[in-house]
Amino acid sequence: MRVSPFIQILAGFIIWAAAFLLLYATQATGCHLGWQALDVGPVSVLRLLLTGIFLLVLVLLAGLYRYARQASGSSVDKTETLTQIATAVHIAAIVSTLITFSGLFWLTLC
Amino acid sequence: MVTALVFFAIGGILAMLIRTQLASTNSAFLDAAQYAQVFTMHGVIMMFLFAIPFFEGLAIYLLPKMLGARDLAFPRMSAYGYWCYLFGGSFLVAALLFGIAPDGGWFMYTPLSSRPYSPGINADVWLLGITFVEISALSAAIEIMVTILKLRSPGMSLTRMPIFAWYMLVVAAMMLIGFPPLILGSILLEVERAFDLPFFDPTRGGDPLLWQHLFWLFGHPEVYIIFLPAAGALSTIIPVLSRTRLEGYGLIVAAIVAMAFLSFGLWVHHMYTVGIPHVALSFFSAASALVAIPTGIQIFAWLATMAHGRPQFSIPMLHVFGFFFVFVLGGLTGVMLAMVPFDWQAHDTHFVVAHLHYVLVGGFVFPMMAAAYYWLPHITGRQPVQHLSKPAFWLVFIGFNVTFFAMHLTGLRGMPRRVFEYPQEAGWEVLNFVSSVGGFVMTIGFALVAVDLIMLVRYGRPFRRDPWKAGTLEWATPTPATSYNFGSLPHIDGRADALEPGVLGPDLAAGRGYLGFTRNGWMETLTVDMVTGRLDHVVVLPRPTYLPLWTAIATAAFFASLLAKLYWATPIALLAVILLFLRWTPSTGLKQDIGPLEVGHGERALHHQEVSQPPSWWAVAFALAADATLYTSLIFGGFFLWLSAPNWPPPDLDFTFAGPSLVAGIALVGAALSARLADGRSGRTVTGLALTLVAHLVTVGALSVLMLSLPAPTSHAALASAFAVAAYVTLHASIGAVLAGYGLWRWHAGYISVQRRLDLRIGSLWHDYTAIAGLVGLAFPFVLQSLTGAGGL
Repeated sequence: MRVSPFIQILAGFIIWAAAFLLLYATQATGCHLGWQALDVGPVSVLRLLLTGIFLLVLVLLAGLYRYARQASGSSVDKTETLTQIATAVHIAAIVSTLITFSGLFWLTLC
Repeated sequence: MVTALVFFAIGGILAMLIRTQLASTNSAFLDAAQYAQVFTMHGVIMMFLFAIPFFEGLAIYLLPKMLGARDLAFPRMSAYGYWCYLFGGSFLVAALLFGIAPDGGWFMYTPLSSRPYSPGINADVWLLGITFVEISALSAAIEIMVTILKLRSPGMSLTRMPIFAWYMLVVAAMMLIGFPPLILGSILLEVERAFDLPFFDPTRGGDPLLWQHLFWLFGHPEVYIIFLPAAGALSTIIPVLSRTRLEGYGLIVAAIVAMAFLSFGLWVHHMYTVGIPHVALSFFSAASALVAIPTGIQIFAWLATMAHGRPQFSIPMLHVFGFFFVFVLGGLTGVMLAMVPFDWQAHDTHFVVAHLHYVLVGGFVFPMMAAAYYWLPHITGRQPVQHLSKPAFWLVFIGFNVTFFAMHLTGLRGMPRRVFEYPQEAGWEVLNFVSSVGGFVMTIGFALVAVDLIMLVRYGRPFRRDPWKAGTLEWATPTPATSYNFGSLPHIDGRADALEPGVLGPDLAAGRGYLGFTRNGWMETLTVDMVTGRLDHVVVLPRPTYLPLWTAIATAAFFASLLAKLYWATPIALLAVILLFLRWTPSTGLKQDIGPLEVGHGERALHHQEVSQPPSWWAVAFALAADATLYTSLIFGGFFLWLSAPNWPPPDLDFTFAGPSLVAGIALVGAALSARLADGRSGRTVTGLALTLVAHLVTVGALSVLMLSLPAPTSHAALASAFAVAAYVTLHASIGAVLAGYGLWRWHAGYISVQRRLDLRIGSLWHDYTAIAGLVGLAFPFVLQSLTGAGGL
């Protein structure tokens, strides 16, 4: 099945945006319900949960990037600009995810 | 564009009043109340009435010509949007003349703008006037998106589009997502002020921070919504004036997509000081810094283009230089302010005022002037005179930098924003005086620009086609352009910024392209497949009419009745708006199937009424996307209050009603299914539509019972939220009933057949959305009530 070029271009940052909302909402909800005070070993339940979401998002983005590379490789016209644009946007989304959410490993949660 | 420039002049005069007041200590020029109205209206006019409408106007003028279409997809909607903008803007300016203008800052923070602290109608003028103007912005966004995606010349694939179209596509999508939270916030605050539903009142479970979130969810992307069209103009102008092609076309497209998303992830950087936890602040701070990267990519692409070409130092290029200098400085202070510790120091000082002016004037006003000098020969068909152009530029450039560079220092020395006077011992007088002198120099520069442009329009000499030797399609039209743009439409074989307008123009004028003939007195244009640019179908555009003006007048009456608190007149005005919109429809239908039409070059295509997804279908889909954004903001608003507002959980009240909710849920699903029955090919159109109508009426009835059963919604924000969600679903079911009734009328009048089912398809979109939104809305009170039981720390 051929994926729409619009979805190819937008998917990476749609995932970033969804991750942003999910992490922000989870952090706020967790703080409200006191999850930062419940520990699992050396870390709190809230930090563990946020880390899990973060890693899941990275896996999704990596999968998407791999798919985009394959699509680009199988394209009849390898110079096709849309696939190049999609690949560049995916890379930007991965880098943005790494930088935007890295604070959840070391900053005060609540 | 002309209207926007008039508003720009008004906003500029207000800026001069501000600078006069602040030029010396303890000035008696304006009192505190007058000053509050003046600085509020300066911001409101520049942001809402000048910046966005100017580039919308430019896009509305240029896009059909650049894309090879006869007009935008919905010319009557453009006209309606324009009148809404003019009337809404006039409301605001008239309020200033009567001394009742908004005075709570252009961002209208609660609780200052709430009824107890702003008892007059000043805040209502802002809330209703801006919402009125935003109708125009949203209609333009939808129109621009549909036009770019569908109304291009055959052969113009996505990757062949001129770069300006990519920019405007991204901007229009941003407007579609960015403006609804502001509209929602305005509605909620107006409802609080008028009917006492406490969304923002912390004593009854509301939260002023909800307003800040809703406002800045719009407000920060707004900066990029203003910058990106200007950047689109720069990406068009710089290669032409450098006599080369744009470097990094694909990378620029990727950068603007990234920028669009990132710009929605930094709204809280206006709220660093409100007490948000460190980790959440880090998300927004990182996104604020990251957004500089796609901006930098564009700047380096423009520099590379100039480096690879032979830049021509004409007047537009002078303004491009002004852009580079000013915008880069604004960007650098932006990165400084993105860092939380620095922002805590500089927050709400004149440093921020200086930064935002460097960004907005650099990122918008200089490119706007470059665009004006570049495209005015197209609009007027005349060459510039240019005696005043250079002195005008230097006066603006020097005046601007004197004004706002000094203001950075005033801010760093601690001068807060929005103060109408300051004591002598503060030590801010010299810097303020320098800023005021610079401000007046800049104003003289703008006055000279205005005189220069008037001279061009009045005395410029007529010239041949394409004076800049550009490669974009707009220069293939006659100059000034005719109302139908092209005598015939081209086929595009390569990138649409590397064409030869000088050769193409006469060919198209001679009718050697598509649709080089008239048929039935129709004005026709072509649509294409969104991605490949393959010929799709023929769109018959409506004839000129005054209906958009009348509809806008009725809309103005609706808003005026709310402003004057004449609530008895509101339903009458609303009915008039609905009837006038319905009056638009007869001229767009077909009463018989006509099959494929000849379009030239031996090709045939269907009429838009006979295809499954014509522009109007996409317009409704995009409108529903904006609607869904507003609704999502409303639902999230309810949960936000549960999470962060004081005085929660609410008193022990039950606001869930299983009976009416169940009936409404079944009816909503029934309406959507009946609409599909009507749209099918089983011949059950009337039955399906009648069932849809009945189902929507049942929904409205059940939800009315539910709303009447709610304990006083004025007592707590939880109840107010439940009431607002129920009202939203009721409104959608009511519109669904109108659409079902409209479908029945169209069927009865002969506009619907097995081939011509557009009205039913559009109706189905609405009914499906209403069912989904309705089910979410019906679940909302149950979820909220259960969450309030979960408690918290």
